[in-house]
Amino acid sequence: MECRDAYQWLCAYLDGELDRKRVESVEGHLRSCPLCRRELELQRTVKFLVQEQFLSVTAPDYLKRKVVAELERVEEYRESGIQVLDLIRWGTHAAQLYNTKNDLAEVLVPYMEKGLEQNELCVWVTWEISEEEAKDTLAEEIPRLQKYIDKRQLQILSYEDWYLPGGCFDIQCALDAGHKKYQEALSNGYSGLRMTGNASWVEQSDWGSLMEYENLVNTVVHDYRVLLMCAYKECKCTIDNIVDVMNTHRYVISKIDDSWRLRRSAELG
Amino acid sequence: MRQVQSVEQRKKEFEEVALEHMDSLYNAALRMTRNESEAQDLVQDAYLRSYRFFDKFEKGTNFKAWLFRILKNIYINKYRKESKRPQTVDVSDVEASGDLMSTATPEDEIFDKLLDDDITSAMDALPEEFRLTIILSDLEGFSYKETAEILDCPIGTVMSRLYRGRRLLRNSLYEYAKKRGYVKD
Repeated sequence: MECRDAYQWLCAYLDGELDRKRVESVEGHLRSCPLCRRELELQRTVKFLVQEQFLSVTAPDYLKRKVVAELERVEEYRESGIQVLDLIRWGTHAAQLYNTKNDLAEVLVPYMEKGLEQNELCVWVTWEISEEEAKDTLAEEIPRLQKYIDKRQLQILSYEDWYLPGGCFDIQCALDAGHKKYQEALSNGYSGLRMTGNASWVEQSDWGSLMEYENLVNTVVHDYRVLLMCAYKECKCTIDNIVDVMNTHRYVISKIDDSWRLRRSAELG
Repeated sequence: MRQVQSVEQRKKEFEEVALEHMDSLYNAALRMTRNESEAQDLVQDAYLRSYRFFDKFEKGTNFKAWLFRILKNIYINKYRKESKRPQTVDVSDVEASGDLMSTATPEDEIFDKLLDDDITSAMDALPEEFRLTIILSDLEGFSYKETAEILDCPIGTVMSRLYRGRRLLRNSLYEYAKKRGYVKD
């Protein structure tokens, strides 16, 4: 056996992963090669060091208590439909930072699709794309879309109708509309309400009111069988706006290097 | 009533087999995310996901490996910060025998003097594919076959990543030792 071949097997030899024949072959080489013996020792030393350093780590006691408590509430968790979010609990208020219509669709289509599958009332409040465009985008992935629209399990509304019914943004009106939609979900036998609203229509002059609204939502949302996904067009936001979005949502996702990442995951309050 | 009992039994059975692995899961999650708060969230997510799919677990197979596969998948989809593109490592640098081979002092003596923080930093700086393989094989004691199944890669890749990963770690530890003056030129 040459050194090059021995190197290939040293690691498995050290870890006891070789069959007897190969062990004999490696040991034969080691007897005659000080360099490979040295290499084997290096591998052993590093392996031992890693074990010595990290094997004593234990989970904090409160984590065990928290996991057991969350298992009790497992029925409150829903499939988000969004890979980077995975399961989310009723009462989750999340945000998506996006730049293109494609970005928007990549998140909202599976999000809405999963809600429809799970018997939730799904509401999409659009901005920048028309209700018809939103419907066409969903129809590409959801074959029986019209059925959901016909029975009003899926509702697509414009931002003007949802946020600006009186021509200007009124925080209490927006909260009342959300509450009314939630009651509609429950009274029609849906398991809860799944909403997405695009907040990018807001000009800087209204930003403070929008954040006040987002904060008020946070004070009540955890008591409801509601999932909220707010969409913010990142290129329209200032750095301060982004910080505000981070501080007012349980999860914030955005696209980095062509894949969706969790930008923030923290309990609010 | 029967339904309630069955849910309770299922939960009890899950807790009995799953909670004993929490230290291992947390330890691995901590080395994956390199962040205590995210590691805790990751462990919780893995428990919720595995409980949800507990019916899908094939009894008689390796439950710990099943849990770790779920943990790894959630880490990749949700918590990892690195690019999804495979990281490239300068193999010539990994394969080179380096300064260490020519030192008179055995490396275990040199590394013994290193601070715990140095070892943690060296481990955390390892490219993800090497770090995950070392976590599963060296820390959790999974066989090459189990590690390959958890990571969705061939056994030969596990072997190669372990070998190269340990060498990268050693090179990095050696640099820390040099900086601290434990290696004489």
